[in-house]
Amino acid sequence: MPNIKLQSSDGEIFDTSLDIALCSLTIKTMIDDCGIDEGEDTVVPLPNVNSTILRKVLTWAQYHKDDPQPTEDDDSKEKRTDDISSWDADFLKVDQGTLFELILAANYLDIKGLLDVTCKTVANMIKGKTPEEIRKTFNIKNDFTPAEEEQVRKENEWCEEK
Amino acid sequence: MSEKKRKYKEQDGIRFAGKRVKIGYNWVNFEECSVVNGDWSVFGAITRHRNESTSLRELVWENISLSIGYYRTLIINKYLEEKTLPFSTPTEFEKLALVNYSKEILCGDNQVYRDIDKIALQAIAYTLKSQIVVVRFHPVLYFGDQDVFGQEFQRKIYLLFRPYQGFAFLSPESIEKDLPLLPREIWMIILENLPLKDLKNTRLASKEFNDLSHSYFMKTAFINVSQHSLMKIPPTYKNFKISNIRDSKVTKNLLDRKPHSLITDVSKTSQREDFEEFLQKCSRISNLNLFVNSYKFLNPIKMITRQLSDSVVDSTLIF
Repeated sequence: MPNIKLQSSDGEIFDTSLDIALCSLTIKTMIDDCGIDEGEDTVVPLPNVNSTILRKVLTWAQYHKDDPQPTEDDDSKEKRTDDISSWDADFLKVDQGTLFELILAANYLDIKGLLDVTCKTVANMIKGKTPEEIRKTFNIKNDFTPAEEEQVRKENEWCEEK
Repeated sequence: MSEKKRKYKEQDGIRFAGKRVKIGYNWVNFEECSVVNGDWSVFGAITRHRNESTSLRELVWENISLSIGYYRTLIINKYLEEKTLPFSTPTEFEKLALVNYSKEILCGDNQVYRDIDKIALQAIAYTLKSQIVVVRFHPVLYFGDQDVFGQEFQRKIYLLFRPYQGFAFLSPESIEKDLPLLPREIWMIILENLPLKDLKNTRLASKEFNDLSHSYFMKTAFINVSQHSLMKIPPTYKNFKISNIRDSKVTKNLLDRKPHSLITDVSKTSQREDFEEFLQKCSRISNLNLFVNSYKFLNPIKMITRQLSDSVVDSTLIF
């Protein structure tokens, strides 16, 4: 498999195997539409991903390059967050800022597997937390008035566990 | 394309930078327009003129729409010829083109250009994020005044644009600056992974989270329904939408309530008749999502929907 050059937003060039780069549907589309031939010395610019994040994305893609492609059936499956592999869990032990940047990169690059696992990681950060703990985790300001908050609590009543 | 026509086309995108522009049969003074200064281009002009007649605003809007085909061509050509997305450091002209392009994406038939639209929308969301944030706080710029575009138009634009205004999802005041903001669409994916009991708590975190979690609050209820094989609901029907039901007591009651309160106890005979009438009415409308949130309603509803025509079932989504 030939190599391809990816350029991060801060100008760093990553010479990577094409099969790894093709984990990204965005890159795949760009390559398909631009008709890049094997061996051609083309640089694919990725203006929305900096070098730190792109390096991590490529590391993830390298590890997962032989994974089966996600299918439409996968979308209809019940969502779980306890199925993150130990490698991914270790890989995503990063600060919240990096995690969010990885999510944005995965979304931009259209890498479903990475987007799924990063979003699940954030979901796990929410799970089991009280509203106040959620606010604290994500630096969210409570902008409810007491009356509005009470209204939401009332609306929640129907699914309260009896 | 003739040289003359090509020149005209080239000027098309920056014509608003001039001090006096003829739009249709009217001359419009655009000396305050900030295309040259790098601000809000045509929209700056629209905003500055919004206290004038609505017909003027409408003229400007229509004129922008007429140029959309050209903007699209510009973007696609740049993308294909230069082998790069044209959005990394957009010029003011490109910003103008992109903003209009995004409107066309939202308003028009995108079948032919769907794939490029998808890439372009991602790029628009990222590279023009400051402008997209403005969408949130100055809805008039995108959604238009009611008297010009009408509520239905606004609603359509809002619903379609909503996933791409992610940078405005969390207001700057509600989150630390050093925390990267996640687009609304990302938060939706994250919340999709949460069970009902956690969604309840995210609703209470803030108004924005309440707004976001709400639709999945419903969706979770739907998942429970689907486990009982009631019916398979397409993922596109995640969001609550109800409209055009006016003349029934039961539907009025339903409309007056919050989506997840739309409960009719169909296990009781009297209410079941009302509910059946309601479902019959549903057959004459489209895009009705009906939320039913308790297992005890499932079997009666299942029976009713089976008894009714297919068209009723098609237009009735039970969550």
